[in-house]
Amino acid sequence: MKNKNILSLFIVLTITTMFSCEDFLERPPYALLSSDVFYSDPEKLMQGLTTAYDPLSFMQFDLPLMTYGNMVTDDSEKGGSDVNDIPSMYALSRFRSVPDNITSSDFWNTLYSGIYASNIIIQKAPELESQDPALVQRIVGEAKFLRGLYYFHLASVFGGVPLAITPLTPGELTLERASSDEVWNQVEIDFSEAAEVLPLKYPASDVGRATKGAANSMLAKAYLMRQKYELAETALAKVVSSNQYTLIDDFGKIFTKSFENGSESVFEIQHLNTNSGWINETEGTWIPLFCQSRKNGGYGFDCPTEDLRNEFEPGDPRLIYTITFNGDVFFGNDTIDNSEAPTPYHNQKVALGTNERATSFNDQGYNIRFLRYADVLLLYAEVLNENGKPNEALTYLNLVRDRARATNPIDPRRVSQVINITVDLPPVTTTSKDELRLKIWHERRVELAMEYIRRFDLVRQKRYGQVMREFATKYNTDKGSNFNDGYHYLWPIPGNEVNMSNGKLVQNPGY
Amino acid sequence: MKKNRCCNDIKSLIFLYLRRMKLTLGLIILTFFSSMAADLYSQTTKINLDCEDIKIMDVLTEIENQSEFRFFYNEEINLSSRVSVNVSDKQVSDVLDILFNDKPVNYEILGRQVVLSAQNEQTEVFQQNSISGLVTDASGQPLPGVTVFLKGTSNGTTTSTEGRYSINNVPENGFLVFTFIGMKTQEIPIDGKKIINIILSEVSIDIEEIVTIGYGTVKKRDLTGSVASISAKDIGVITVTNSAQILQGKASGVMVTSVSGSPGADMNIRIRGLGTVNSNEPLYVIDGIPTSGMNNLNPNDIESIEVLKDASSSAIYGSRAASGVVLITTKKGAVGTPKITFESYMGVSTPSKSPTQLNSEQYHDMIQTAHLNGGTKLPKKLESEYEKGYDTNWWDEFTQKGVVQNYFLSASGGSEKVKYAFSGGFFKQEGTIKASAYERISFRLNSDYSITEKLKVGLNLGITNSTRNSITEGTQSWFGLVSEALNMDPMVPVINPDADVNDPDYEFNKYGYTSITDSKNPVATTARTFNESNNFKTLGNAYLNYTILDGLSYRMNVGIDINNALTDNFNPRFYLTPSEKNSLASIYRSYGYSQGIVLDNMITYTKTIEDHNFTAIAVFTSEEQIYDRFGGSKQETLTNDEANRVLDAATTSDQISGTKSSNSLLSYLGRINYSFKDKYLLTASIRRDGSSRFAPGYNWGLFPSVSLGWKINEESFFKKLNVQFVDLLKLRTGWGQIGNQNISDYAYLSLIKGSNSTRYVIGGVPLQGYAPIVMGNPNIKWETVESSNFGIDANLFKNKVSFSADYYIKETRDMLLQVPLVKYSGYPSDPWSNAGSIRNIGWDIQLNYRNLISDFKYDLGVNLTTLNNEVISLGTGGAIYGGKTKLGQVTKTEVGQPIGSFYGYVMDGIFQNNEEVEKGVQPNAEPGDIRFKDIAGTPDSNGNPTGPDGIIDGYDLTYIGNPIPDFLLGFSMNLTYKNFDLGLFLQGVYGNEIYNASKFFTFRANGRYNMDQDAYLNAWNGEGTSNTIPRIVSTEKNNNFRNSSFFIEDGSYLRLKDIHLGYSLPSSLCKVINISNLRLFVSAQNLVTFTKYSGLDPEIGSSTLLDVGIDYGTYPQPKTLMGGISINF
Repeated sequence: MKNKNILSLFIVLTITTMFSCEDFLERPPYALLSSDVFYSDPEKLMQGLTTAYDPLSFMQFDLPLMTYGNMVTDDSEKGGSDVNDIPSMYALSRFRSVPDNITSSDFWNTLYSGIYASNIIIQKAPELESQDPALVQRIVGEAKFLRGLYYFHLASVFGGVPLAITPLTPGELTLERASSDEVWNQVEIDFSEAAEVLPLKYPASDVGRATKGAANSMLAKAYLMRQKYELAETALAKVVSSNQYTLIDDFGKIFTKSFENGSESVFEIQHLNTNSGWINETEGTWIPLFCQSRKNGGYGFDCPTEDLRNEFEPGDPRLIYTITFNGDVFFGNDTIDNSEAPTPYHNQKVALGTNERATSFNDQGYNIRFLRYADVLLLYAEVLNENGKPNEALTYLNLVRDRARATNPIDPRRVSQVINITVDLPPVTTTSKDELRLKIWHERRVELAMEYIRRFDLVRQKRYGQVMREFATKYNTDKGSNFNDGYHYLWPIPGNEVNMSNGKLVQNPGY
Repeated sequence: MKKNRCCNDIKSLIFLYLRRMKLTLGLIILTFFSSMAADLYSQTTKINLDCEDIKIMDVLTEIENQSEFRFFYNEEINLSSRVSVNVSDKQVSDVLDILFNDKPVNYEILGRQVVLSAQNEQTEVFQQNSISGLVTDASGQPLPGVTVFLKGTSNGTTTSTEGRYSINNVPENGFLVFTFIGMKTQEIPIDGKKIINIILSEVSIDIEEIVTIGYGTVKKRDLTGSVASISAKDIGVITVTNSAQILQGKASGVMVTSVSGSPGADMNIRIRGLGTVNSNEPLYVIDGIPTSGMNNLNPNDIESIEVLKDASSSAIYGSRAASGVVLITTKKGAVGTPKITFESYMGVSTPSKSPTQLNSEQYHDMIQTAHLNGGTKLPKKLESEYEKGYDTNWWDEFTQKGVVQNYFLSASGGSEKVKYAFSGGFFKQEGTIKASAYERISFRLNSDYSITEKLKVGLNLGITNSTRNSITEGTQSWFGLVSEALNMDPMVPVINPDADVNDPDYEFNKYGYTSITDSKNPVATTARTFNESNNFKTLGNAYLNYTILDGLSYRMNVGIDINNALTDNFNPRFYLTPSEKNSLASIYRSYGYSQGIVLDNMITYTKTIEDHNFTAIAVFTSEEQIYDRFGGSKQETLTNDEANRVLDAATTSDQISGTKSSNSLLSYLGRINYSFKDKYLLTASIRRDGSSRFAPGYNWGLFPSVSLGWKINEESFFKKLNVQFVDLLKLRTGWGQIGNQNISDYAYLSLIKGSNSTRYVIGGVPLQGYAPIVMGNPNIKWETVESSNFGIDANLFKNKVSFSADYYIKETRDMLLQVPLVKYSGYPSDPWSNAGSIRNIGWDIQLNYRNLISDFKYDLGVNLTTLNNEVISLGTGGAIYGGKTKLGQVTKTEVGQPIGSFYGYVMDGIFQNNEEVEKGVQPNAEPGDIRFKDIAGTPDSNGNPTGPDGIIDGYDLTYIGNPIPDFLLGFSMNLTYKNFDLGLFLQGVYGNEIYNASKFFTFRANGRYNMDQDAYLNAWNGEGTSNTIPRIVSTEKNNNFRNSSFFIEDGSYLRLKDIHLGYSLPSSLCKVINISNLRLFVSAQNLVTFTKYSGLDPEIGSSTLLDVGIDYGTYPQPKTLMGGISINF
């Protein structure tokens, strides 16, 4: 009797379990949201936009930016402990890139992750526009600015690349490479459309977002990649005439903490030491300690060359704020020892004093001065000269030189400095187009030295090969001696991408 | 010198053994157990009686009904007098006192037996009812330790060391049962005999062996599917440190590889080839509970392991059996007197191979040569470092002699009503590399109760606490400590003599560091490694079995698999150099909880109608898995002391995170086993599974199977042939479909999440962003494996020879795969998809021979497995690249090729002189650089391949090696002569290639890192000096170390996995010390390896299939010498 009861109990249990089965197979995704329901209001769109900005702060963005901006030019040597310390950077600096270069694929992957995030925002925005039209339009403007920025670097480094302006579905991953012109066209469209809707400036709580000035400046840079001087002049004129920017009175102050996002800042990559994790979980950057001398607590990369040092006029005080010399003593009892560097120099612009450094070396709160007003002024001078307006050009060129002249030749951050400068920077007066062009190019090189614009300048000025080969001869080095104008203006796209595309992506010639 | 060292090893071994075994304690425990077993029952069993005026005899019967007490008495005692008894919760002795208070009867309680005797006649009673005899084996050798008991009672004994037994108080009409492991159990009717001598015959090839097949068992000779079965006897005397090693080389069709030689490392088990690019882990089922692996199981607790290889046998596990099923049964109790076993061993491990790196002089020379050849600057400190005169062999410094020790104590026994087996074990293994170790404490209790004839319940429970300390090993994205040690500068001392002894962090700051490379002192790294993971696992099930009618029974089974995992990590504060330092000590701790619950309801019906014999089952089962984890980290502790290695001791950078996920499975299944005239066999099964891992609409899958067997030897025509040497000849064939749902939970959903890696600073404040983290595929569905099997089983020459061969074809369709996508997608992760088909074809062959020539018993076994793997289709997708190394992705999976084939440039020797360079197509090369083969150029406009085009580019990449062996081999031999036993076991693979990616670290002579001495001595050094190893140079433009056949090596090997020699104490001696059996043994694992492979170890496991056979800098398998003891009481 008793046993029968037990049996019926089990049969009941079994049947109960069977009937609840459909519920049983439903499992919630804890702590995650399905993308179908996430983008419900502009607030969520804004949170998505944050992740479109985020790749700018990745080490896989700023280290390749440094490599492709400085190391592959006559301004900088790779550095590190020796040639085999990060061989991918060394290979690039010697124009020996093979398609499996990790610095190159890091850059590619990061740029495309930013493009994907921007594309999602641009795609989702129209559904939400009615909720807060002004805000949604601004968000779309920011997303377009970012997408333009990411494609700018792709086109500049790799040439024509797969071009997606909506988030790709898995079925769409059979894109071929667009032509270089198609990508540059898209970059111009994105920056123009962004410039239309973005505000001139933001309240303090939104500092760091893309502005109208940033979009117009980047638009001009994009035009210059294809020598569109007229269009570039128009875009730059908008920035200059907006009256949003002024040069900081002393060149030496630009790279100090208190002048971050200062009056000269057009676009800065924001970094903050939050002690919040590892690699890309931090909000800080690797750059300052990565480029600090190995003997002064850093990793010793990105060393200014003798050629860059010699570019400075003897009376130019900007030299001491650009380069550290053996024997300079900084506050905090920090005596510079560059003896392990391939050149005796390190980059002072990104340096942090011992008292300013965060303990975790990859998490330094230092903003990358991505686009300064001085850069805008010098570009403006350059296009004015090209467009036959040398006198106007001189005005803007000399604005930059005047500020340099006003710079304190004694670095207040140093206890003692090895190089003493007697300031002597006469204004430029020539109105000969060719002479003035060379003066502007010189000014750009010293004013913006080590700020990741050298390759951009050499490429658009179409003298990259000539400069590198001359550099190789002059310093008897293999850096640049093998520069081939036929293909070294572009770098190979990552080999794994070519492989995985099963023939859809064709490698750049020469690689 | 070497000899001397060896002697020291043995001495230290014995010393350690005695010190750690704590034998005394063990013996005390044992004594306690045996006396407890006798007295406990009578003291704890309570009797309730309420009888008015009944016969004493009936009172005794009632006591027998209530308990397991059995009364023995002769007819002289008068038990028909009437009594009244009213007691509750009394011990049996109290009741007997009442019953015989005024009667001339004595009683004696012996365990569960109560002997009644007339006063003054006690001794006679014993003699009159006792039986004695001798038990021998077929050769006449006495058999000690045979269990002899009276059927239906717990009255029993074991034979003495001379094979003699004596058993008292047996009724004349009873039966005596004789059981012994490896022998056929015999039941002998007593029929009033006083002496019964019997010969036990060996169960030679175990044709009556019962094989577990999932939701039931079947006689091995009635099997129709392909099942490899390994029993405790086969596991026998081989010492394994990891349960999965039991399968290595023992079962045909099963490939077992260690992922690493690190203690506690996982083993990869691959059944019949590589079925899918996704996970190939088989399903593990321990006592009916599906679980994730067998790593936490104590090998001593295993009774048998069955591997279900073909679809017809594994389809009963439906959705998760695509990669085969490993069924593990733990040891259960058996009727008889308690058996107590103590086993222990202790040994010392060393790396099975040690590399030879450059000494200081060679290193100094190599750096000079490299920079001279490369025209680059010498490291500034080279000379000053060299002049210090240190010459450190870092391999010797960072490896150690690891002690391995194991203790195991078990007791088992039981009566018809209750059977039990419980055990406790402790295992500890130190790694051959410092800072790695593994420790396991395990307990198990298995018990079965027959409540009534019809109702049985039981409980199996295993608890394991394991602790693993591990070092960083080489992976796809990280070079491990092994590579680090091989690269370290030998001019550096282990301990820096200039280190400040008064430094509070001296313990971590005392180490030497290199000033000329970025390698880290590996001894310092191991000293700083505090990386401990602890897992507490509870795996158990409770069942109820109710026989409804004869042949019809219902079974309910509830199983749990609960894991509590703790991870502890501490990075001490230290400072060696500006780049080798950690300024803030940090602590990380995480806690993970996983809970699996399974509920089975099963009906079994067995029926025989004349020649038709069938068993049918129907099962409903549901499973649920919940996984929950949280972790936290902090930085900055006051000191590095052990007391400060807790979160509360740290003050900054608080971080916390947690995840949770869950999945469930519902299944209905049925199976029928049918045989006709014991000649024709049929098994058919069907299972329907619903899984939460797929989107609604794609939840359910159906998995059918059928298999047939034909025992030819039972046919009359065969019998007429009179081939007497054939004992069994059976043909088998089977077909089935099984599934795979092994994808991440929620793979069908696109998901968004915010975390600290999706923040960006705006307005000076980090803003929280939300980003897609998973790209979902709403159409994802089951992967299906369809397999066919053709097999033959034969037993010959009185079962001395057994042979089994299977041919299989296994095709995986809708393969579940996270296809690596182009990065220009921008996706945060690769979505899951059903991509393509893969076919595996091969043979499993097993041959055993066993014989006995008087005192000499031998047993030989060989098994062979062939593997042939081919990708049939990749759906709409193209080739899949994988195997990420420092050299890029080195494997390609493409239609027509095996999975994960190595793909790269072909090395075509070394450029010997400038003429050869000029003739070649590598403009940047110099003499001494590697020449690569120009195979093809840009395809023509129709996409057809073209011939060599004078440029080495992506079109010259080709297949350069296959990681899948042609065949796997296992060979075992066991010899027994009188008291000695000798066994050896070889395991090998043949015909595979290894991608030796660690050569990137050990062969690059770039004037920076230490390197392999052979590579240095044989490097190209002028015309004609080498055609295989490039020159020593700091920087070269040819990119010699690109992905090419330079890294490909023959991966075949044959390894002596185990060799052991045992000695069992003669039975006369055993008797003196009152034990039934004692065996002493010495054994060696991985003693010799025959291979051409130049790396540290050719046995390379991998976590994913796209990087099988890539050596990332393997932690080599340990070579272990050990000695041990096994005692039965």
